[in-house]
Amino acid sequence: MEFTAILAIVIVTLLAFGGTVAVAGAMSLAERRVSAWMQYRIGPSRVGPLGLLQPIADLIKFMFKEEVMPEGAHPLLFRLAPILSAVPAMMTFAVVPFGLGKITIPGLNESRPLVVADIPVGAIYFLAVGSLGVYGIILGGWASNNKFSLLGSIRSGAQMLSYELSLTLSMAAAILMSGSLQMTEIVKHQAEHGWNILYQPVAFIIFLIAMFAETNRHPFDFAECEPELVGGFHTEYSSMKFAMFFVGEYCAMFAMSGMITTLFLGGPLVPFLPIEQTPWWLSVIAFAMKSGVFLFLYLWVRWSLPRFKYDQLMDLGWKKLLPVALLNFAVTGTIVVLANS
Amino acid sequence: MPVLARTLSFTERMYLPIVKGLFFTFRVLFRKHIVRMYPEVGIPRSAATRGQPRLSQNEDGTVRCVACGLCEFVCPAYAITIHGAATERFIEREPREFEIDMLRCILCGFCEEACPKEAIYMSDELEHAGPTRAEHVMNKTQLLRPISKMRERIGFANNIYNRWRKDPLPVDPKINPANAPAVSPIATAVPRNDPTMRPLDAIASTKTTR
Ligand code: SF4
Ligand code: SF4
Repeated sequence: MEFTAILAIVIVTLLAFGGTVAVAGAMSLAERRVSAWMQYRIGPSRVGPLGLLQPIADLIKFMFKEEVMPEGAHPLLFRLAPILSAVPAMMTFAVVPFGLGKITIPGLNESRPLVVADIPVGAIYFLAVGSLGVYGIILGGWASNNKFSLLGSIRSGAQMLSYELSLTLSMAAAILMSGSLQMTEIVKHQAEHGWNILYQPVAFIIFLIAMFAETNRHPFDFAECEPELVGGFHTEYSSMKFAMFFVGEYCAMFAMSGMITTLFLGGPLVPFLPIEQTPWWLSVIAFAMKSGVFLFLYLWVRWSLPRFKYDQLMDLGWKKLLPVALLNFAVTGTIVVLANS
Repeated sequence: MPVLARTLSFTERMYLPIVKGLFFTFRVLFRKHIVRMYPEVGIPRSAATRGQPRLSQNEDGTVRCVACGLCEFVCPAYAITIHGAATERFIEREPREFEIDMLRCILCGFCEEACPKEAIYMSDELEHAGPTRAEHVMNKTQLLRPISKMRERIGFANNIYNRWRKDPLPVDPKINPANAPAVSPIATAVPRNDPTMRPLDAIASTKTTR
């Protein structure tokens, strides 16, 4: 491969990676602003205009905080856990197409599609790498030598396992519709036949619920669970290590929002505009707006609902979502087979 | 005892009321906030605010304090240090130096209660911060405030503490006398016109008669 081609790939990758981290930073501010608005408050408004520089101030604060490692903690795993939590979360976004067509990188004479890695097994990659995030949480809780942390991470492990099933099955229903695991193919199929949410409303709702559990967000944030477990798996973490968990959570949220957008809402497709006529910047805006809705939903739900009880979580996951997802999957499969024959 | 839970309806078991809650918080998003931007917009304070103690200053700029030492004596935190000196004025004595260590002061208000000359009062000043210890020890010039600014508090405090006093001090005319605290048995036990009787004797006498 030529040098310029590699450079073009690197540039697109940096674009996606920078975008993800920027979204994570913006989310840390949005989380506090939205929560404030929902509680008749204002939220951080002092740093920079409208408080927009707050994430930078937070970052500086995190960097200068003291790193504390509890006595008896496993030194290697304790340091490894935040990385294991943040890196997979950032990696999952790689297969999500965030724009249509190709952009020409100025000065390089190279054009690249607006997706970091359009691999043929995109959906499986997403699930596989996304599930790695739970290692960070489990190791973080175990290595801290703290019973509350361990409880939090065990809960989170059980929760991820339960909801991964429904998540995968609902995802599989959407994949069955387009007959491909490649993300761009799924988008293309939706451009021809209409968005998947029209055919798969049940799968959409299951994915929506499971995605809250997968990212450990309210109302399923049993890994943290402040009133019961102090801070859960990150009780003992401080400074940049804590920030890594934090950023990882937001990155995972963004990747999940991007994934649900791609699977069910046509990803970067602009409504009523054929693929060929969509300028790439418009499709990026469409993608950002669609996933922005889900990012807002994360915050909205967090500041509206109380936390579930643990038995409710398991009940919802195994007794309600899983049978419905299985049924939905079976029905979809049958119909697709009948339609194709 | 088993806790009996209400049986949930089908919609409730399907977690559908969640949607109702979501719409409520969404409406709150657009409502007016109820925040006071604190350092710029201060806290409303009334005469009842028991902030840091301050010395009152007459209209002609002289100090009201006569350096009697009562407040220094009564202060439970030993926050007050007074060095008295003679003066040409009618009151004959005034503090040469008067220090209150605001790091020790617990804002109890005993000094205000003890002072016979309306000289030390709890102001409405609440904020106090600084990087060194020394700057929290306030001297006489830092403590002095014109008495006109403290009138309201003086009237309010007199209204409270008059129950201990043989000769009531003037209260704030805005205060309804019906709201005044009940007059203490000690104050009533002292015969109003008996110059030989001191309040301490009165305490002893009320105790023995009980
Ligand atoms: S308020 Fe209480 S602690 Fe403070 S100076 Fe007066 S008597 Fe002492
Ligand atoms: S009690 Fe009043 S008059 Fe006596 S020293 Fe204290 S402030 Fe001065």
